[in-house]
Amino acid sequence: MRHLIAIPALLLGATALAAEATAANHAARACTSACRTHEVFVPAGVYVPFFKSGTGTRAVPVEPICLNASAVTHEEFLGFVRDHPDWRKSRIKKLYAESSYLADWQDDLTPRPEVLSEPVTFVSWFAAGAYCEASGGRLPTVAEWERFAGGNAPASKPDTSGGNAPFAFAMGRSAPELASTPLTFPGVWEWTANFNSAMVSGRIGTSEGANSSQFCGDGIRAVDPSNYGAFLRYSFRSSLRANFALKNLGFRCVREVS
Amino acid sequence: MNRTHKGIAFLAAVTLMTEVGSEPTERSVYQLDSSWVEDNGRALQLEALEGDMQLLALIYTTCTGACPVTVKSMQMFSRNMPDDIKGRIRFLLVTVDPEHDTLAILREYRREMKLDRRWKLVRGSPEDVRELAAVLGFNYEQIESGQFAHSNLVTVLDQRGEIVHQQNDFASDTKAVVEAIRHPQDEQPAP
Repeated sequence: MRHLIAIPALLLGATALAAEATAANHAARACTSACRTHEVFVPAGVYVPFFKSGTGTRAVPVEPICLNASAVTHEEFLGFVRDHPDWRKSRIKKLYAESSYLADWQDDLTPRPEVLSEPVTFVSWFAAGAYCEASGGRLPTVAEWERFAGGNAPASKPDTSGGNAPFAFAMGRSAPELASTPLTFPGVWEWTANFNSAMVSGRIGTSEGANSSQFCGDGIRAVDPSNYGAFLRYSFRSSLRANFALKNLGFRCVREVS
Repeated sequence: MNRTHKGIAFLAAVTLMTEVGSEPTERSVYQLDSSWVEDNGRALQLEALEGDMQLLALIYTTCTGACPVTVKSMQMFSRNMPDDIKGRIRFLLVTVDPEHDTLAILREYRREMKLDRRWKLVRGSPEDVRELAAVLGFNYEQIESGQFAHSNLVTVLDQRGEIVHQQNDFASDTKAVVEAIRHPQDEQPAP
């Protein structure tokens, strides 16, 4: 049923994007149709890193990609561990995941039935990367992720009404140009290929309070200090290790447009 | 049991021990499926590092900030460390800028920094460097050509490639490193 809804929605999204394309953009239009039904086409664009370097703001070009419309689910991950026994919770090596790996699964091949279609969490960076590789893709880079999902309103604040995900506002919102696509963000943080590129420490937004012996380089001055959601994401990423398996951390994959 | 049987049992035990010894342990960094090249052009698989402890740092040769300090203090450490640990430790520098740091540049760096044969300088693909860094908890990002923002971290690996000690500021205090090399089994695994 989900697929029946998703397919027309994707077609609408693709049509809207194609309509925007100029005559010079034929290549991009061809790529749009190269994405699979559960994917969203993200056209080439520019990523402005959240932190300034010594010479000021940089703009990094980002290549077009096909992006999973939603985070990888328990059911999809089950298919992966069925085919790749080394990534089952009883078999995974300690280097690749801490002991909480798939902590909410009853055993190697039994996620809870009621959450099958929800995002799989308690997965390490290694496991997420292996899943994407097995499906012909890879994890998105920070630049790619921020480009398609960093569309959160700068003034957003945590939801203190007692909901499950008070930081959902920081966990992704479609970039404006992808607003008409079926891209969804289910309220979990997501792994990125180079999560360990973030340099956040000490007092957020200034270099005061940072442990100067810990980091080299002037990397912690924000381009937009009012973007609270981005601060949260960069801080969260910088606190991760590759073997972490956390309750609120999932992932989605991207494929390069060939 | 006659002598022949004893001999076979002994050989079997030795074979078993050798095999167990040559398989990286579950926490060993040497399980990473990555390929490296030393500055002398020789290919290096991480497993080949087994047997010696390693003092490991990620660097890049055009770094003007913390890297030269880290390498200099590692070098000072290599000269002044207590006699009882001298034979146990080797030094491993991995470049985070493989695009710029070619083997020729790494060889030049070796000459310039006067690094002897106990030191390996290695280079790998950007993906393999990213993975090794992720395992070590080393963060880095290229800010502009030739400059990186990066952690300042040295790691002690035991003979099997397990992380037994890490510290951010190597220049100021090496006591903990000496202790980690003396008694690797006492050290807590990395968080």
